[in-house]
Amino acid sequence: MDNFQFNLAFFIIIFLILALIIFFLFDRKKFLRIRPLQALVQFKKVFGFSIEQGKRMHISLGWSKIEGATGAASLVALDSMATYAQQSLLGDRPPIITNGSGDLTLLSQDIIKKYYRENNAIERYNDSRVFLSGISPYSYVAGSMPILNQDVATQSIIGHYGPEAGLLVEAGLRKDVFTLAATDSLAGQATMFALADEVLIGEELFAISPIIDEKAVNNASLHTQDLLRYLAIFGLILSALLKLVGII
Amino acid sequence: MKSIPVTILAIFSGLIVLAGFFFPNSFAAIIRTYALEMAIILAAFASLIAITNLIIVHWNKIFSEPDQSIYSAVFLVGFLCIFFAGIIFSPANSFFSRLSSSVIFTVESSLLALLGLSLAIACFKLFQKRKGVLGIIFGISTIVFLLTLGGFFSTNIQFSFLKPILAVLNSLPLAGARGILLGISIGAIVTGLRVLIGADRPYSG
Repeated sequence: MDNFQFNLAFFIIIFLILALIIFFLFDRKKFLRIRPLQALVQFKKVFGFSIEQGKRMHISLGWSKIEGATGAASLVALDSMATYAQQSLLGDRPPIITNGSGDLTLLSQDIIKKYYRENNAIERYNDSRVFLSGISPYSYVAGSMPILNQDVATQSIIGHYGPEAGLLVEAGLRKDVFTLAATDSLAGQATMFALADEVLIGEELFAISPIIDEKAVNNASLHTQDLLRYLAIFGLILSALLKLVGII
Repeated sequence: MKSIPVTILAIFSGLIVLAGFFFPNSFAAIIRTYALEMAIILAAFASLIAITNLIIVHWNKIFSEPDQSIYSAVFLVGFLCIFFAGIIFSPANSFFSRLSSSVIFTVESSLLALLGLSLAIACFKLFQKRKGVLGIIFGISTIVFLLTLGGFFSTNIQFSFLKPILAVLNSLPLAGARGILLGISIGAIVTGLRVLIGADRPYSG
């Protein structure tokens, strides 16, 4: 086992121990309350209004493959898609879901079919509302842009994107489409910050699922993630100070 | 009911891959190699299915949405041209490579130029959208780092006292980027672990 493998194993063990402690020992109502993210609160309001007005939502899942290094962002995108789609699927205008990789397409189609089946409305499922719009970053964005002409009022751009997603946000701005954006790429985040109506920065992307799902397990994992981040910050500052005084 | 065996399979294969990663000389490492190869092949087939689906979607759009049909028609013609050119000449052929890359590079450069313009306008409008402290910090840091990282001070520097200030300023973006990446990597590992313990099931359709 080399250094990296050892560190990762150590991290996983610490995470599991902390998650179990938080999940079983802490009072869920008192200690496991999640701080609300203003961007998600605002998006939920606008999303609710748009469903009431019979408008459509565009859910963009990004172009990262699940098995790739940036696959975690795609997992978050799928999770958030499941929640938003479930809330708007049986409306007058069901959401349109676009993505940029084959595995995301199949998984998202499968999830949407599941919700239609659960609501005994599988005959309303249509492949043309869940599809791959392009397999390279720019072709994906270019393929998704015409969807905004289909009476769309809100769009969520969650997943792995570079700065090219700015084009999709900008197209939405011209059509008065309210956009929530979250990505794991630094260049993508900077672009979204300048353009999108609501944006999530850094690790806030990974807090989407626990916040919108409201499951106890996800809740505990978010608290553990926060705790580990504080430990990492503390460790970094401590090691910098120790190096400064010449101890290490 | 379908989700229980699928969840067990997903957790089991995840654990095997993780064990193979931690113990490279074990039996799990051999299974991990095969599992990853299988995943790559499956992903390639998934891409083929998704592309077929895309063609069907655009074919249907030509007839069902007359106002949008021109985009779908152009897409289908372009796709068929490149597809048959690839079959006839093979992807390694220099003519095919020049044909496809010249189309892709031209279109992507145009989109990049458009993005640059949109971002420049967005920067001017930034304070309308982000009225908080974060917006002000973003605006100031954009101007400061355009000046410092653009090389303006490095060529015209005459005052020695500016050097340490610039050194500190230049290290700020790196420190900020590392901070954000640290948070993202912790989040990514935790998300992976949630799938591994079955708390998140993106495959449960």
